[in-house]
Amino acid sequence: MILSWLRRGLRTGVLTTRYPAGCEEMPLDFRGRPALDADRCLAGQGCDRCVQACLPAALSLTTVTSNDPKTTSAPQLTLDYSRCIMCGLCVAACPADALHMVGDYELASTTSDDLRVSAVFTQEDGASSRDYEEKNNGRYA
Amino acid sequence: MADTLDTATRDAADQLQARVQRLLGHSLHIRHVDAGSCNACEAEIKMLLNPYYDIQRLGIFFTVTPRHADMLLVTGCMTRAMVDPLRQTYEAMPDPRLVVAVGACACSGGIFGQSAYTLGGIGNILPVDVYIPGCPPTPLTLIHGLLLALGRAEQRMHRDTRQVKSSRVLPMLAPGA
Amino acid sequence: MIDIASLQSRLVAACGEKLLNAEQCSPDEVVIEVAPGALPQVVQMLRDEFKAVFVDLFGLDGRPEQQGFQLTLVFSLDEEESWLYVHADLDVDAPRFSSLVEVLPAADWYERVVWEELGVTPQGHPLLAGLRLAPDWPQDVYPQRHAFRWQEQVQGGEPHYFELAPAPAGIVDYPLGPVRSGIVESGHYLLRTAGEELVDMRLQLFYKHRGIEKRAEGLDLEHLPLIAERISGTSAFAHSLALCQALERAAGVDAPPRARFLRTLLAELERLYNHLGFQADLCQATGLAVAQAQFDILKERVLRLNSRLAGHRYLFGMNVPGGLSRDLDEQALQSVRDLIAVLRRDMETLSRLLLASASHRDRLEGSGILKPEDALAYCAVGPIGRASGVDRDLRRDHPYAAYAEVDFAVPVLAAGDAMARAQIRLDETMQSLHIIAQVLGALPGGAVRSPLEQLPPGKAAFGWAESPRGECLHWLLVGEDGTLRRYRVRTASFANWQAFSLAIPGHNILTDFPVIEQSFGLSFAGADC
Repeated sequence: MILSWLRRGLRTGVLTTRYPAGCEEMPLDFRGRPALDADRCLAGQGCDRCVQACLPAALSLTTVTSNDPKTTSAPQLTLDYSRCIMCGLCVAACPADALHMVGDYELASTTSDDLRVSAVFTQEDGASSRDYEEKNNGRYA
Repeated sequence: MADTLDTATRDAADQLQARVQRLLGHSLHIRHVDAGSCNACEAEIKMLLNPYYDIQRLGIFFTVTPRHADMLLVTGCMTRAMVDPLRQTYEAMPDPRLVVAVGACACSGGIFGQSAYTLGGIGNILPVDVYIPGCPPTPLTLIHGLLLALGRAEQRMHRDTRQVKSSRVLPMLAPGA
Repeated sequence: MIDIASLQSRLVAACGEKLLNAEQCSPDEVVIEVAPGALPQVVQMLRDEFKAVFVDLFGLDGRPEQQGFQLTLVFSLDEEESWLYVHADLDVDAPRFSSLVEVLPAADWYERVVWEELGVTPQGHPLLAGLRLAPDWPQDVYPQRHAFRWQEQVQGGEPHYFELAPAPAGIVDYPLGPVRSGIVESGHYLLRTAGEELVDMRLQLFYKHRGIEKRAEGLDLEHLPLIAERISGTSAFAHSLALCQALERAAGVDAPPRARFLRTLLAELERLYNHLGFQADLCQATGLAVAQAQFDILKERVLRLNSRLAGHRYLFGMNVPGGLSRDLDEQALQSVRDLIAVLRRDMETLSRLLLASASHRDRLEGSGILKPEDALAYCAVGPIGRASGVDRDLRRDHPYAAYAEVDFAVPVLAAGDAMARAQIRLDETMQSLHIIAQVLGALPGGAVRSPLEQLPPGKAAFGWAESPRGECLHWLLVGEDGTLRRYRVRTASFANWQAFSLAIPGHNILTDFPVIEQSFGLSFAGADC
């Protein structure tokens, strides 16, 4: 009996993933996490469809004071991945294609703060783009 | 003088962290506790031991006693009844010890959040070293999170606030439409 | 379908004036109204003369629309493929009813839930104590009363624990849990042994009670499946299917044929990975490491197929009210076909090897016997019930999705030991493969979703599905504003855990316990919910 199982095991061969030594591809529609394309987002114009669609309140809209002297307050859309359940309802709700699912799986973080991405929507005023400090680490699509 | 002290303290903290990672980087023993999950997170954690993922090849093992554990891996949204058992398990662990929150429920309470039944994740009860988002996080996501805790993987998620110029036009949609 | 006139006349003849009202609310549902004091006789009569099988008991606070509380019992009339609801109206000022535990032992936990969450007293209950709420939950806060919201901050009081009478001389108490060895869910067993032999076990579950029923209140159509999926993540598809079917019933909408067939396919894929994981866990308990790895490999392959089909390894997000959220294209269906062929071949080999493994069989045969009469008395469901002679399966007895359009056998054994529970699941695995092959061969074209925009206010509806662990039932009441007013979930594990205690005494030794526990393969999350 033991030999039969042993034979079976040996015949199976090696199946182990090479990760982390190599990367693994996820299937096309795998729901890794939602990604926000802030340039397309209409939160600055009063849209809150994704916030309404989000059950765990991973997406939230708040008002912040911006550093733009011409605007005293601005809406801020925050996506908190520590709350996100990757259901994709926000992607379906967005009227502007600003949210889409990506197949990322390296999601861990040492702080909960690092799991929050935000976009602050300040008013267009024709001033030079150097007024704003834009950080884009390439994660936005 | 004060500056030197600060630097010295900072260096000592960095050295301690590096030492912890060196100690634990060779092999890690994990004690898992379920603090009120739906069982999907446990199912994914169990898959780590299957031949496809085989985390033992990375020196990571599961132990049944917190006394031998280096890391407390917690799933679940933190139900009221599990607060004491979870705390007692943590207190039974010797230093150095890490705490990892697995899944949206443990990280933040997920869809349950703060309620009459649930306490919004384990962060209010224990000091969390690594958060692993997901519902449930897949085995690869778990491997990345465990290695991140050991200093053997890079963190990809970073806090980000982007300023976007939006046109001052009439709203295209009524709020909440 | 049910012949209401005949059923009604038989009920009237049997109950006499105890029956206050009887009506047929749909082709397969009958509602009768009974006075609370007459419940035990009516229940006994339903069981003995109508062969009705007890399925659920829950309470509802009808205020402010109605005057008081309503107790609902649900029975299954298998021969008529129908459901029977028994309503009893209770007075708010003196809410009580005669306990049914004498007549129906399975009603035990259900009555305790109604007592602690609604404040309704089952008079004569042999052991009235809290069940689901945390030990520090204050005594006078009733979450099922209509004013209570799930996000209320409930101040913890002095914890009250159930005091067990001390063990007699010579009997040793062996507490296990809630933090137990292995990657397992939290729950507490108090084992009592005389030497090596297990003489008793007291179960303490509900450490994981998250208040699912309250969480769903006030939610709209789009969000409800997210809640249902997370009752028990490994039965996510079955639970969301039961919920969506209840919503479709409430709205009077039918899912299109292609959706019904695909739902059947996905439900069987869920059954497959659960049964494969069950065998792996059982081999871990009996120490057959290579066998455990082999079954885990097959389970992983099914999970990866799920990820390819649904974008999620546990099929979250597939069921929506009205059908499915997405279709499966020809490539996806081909990958299902390919995996089914591999699984069929591998399962034949592995089953043969497993049944020839004497060390594995020795630990299972004769262990943890759940006698058929106990399984019936405690209304055990699913593979656990079927291993103890309870010949019931929702897919055959109350067909849903496309189960009426495929052929399959429902294996039933009478031995009731761990070996029977393992054998049933091996047989069900092969049946699942057979069902999937038929669905692939008969899959109709067309849409996968019917429009379902709103729920009719005030409507109640019932949905069901046979999850890998047994029948699970979802009952819901829509509020006046079209959101959910009351949600009731009866999972398979909630029913089966009550029967678990009965399988422990009877020539089992302490080291048999992990094997017996794994052979039941029950869900704590599903029971606690």
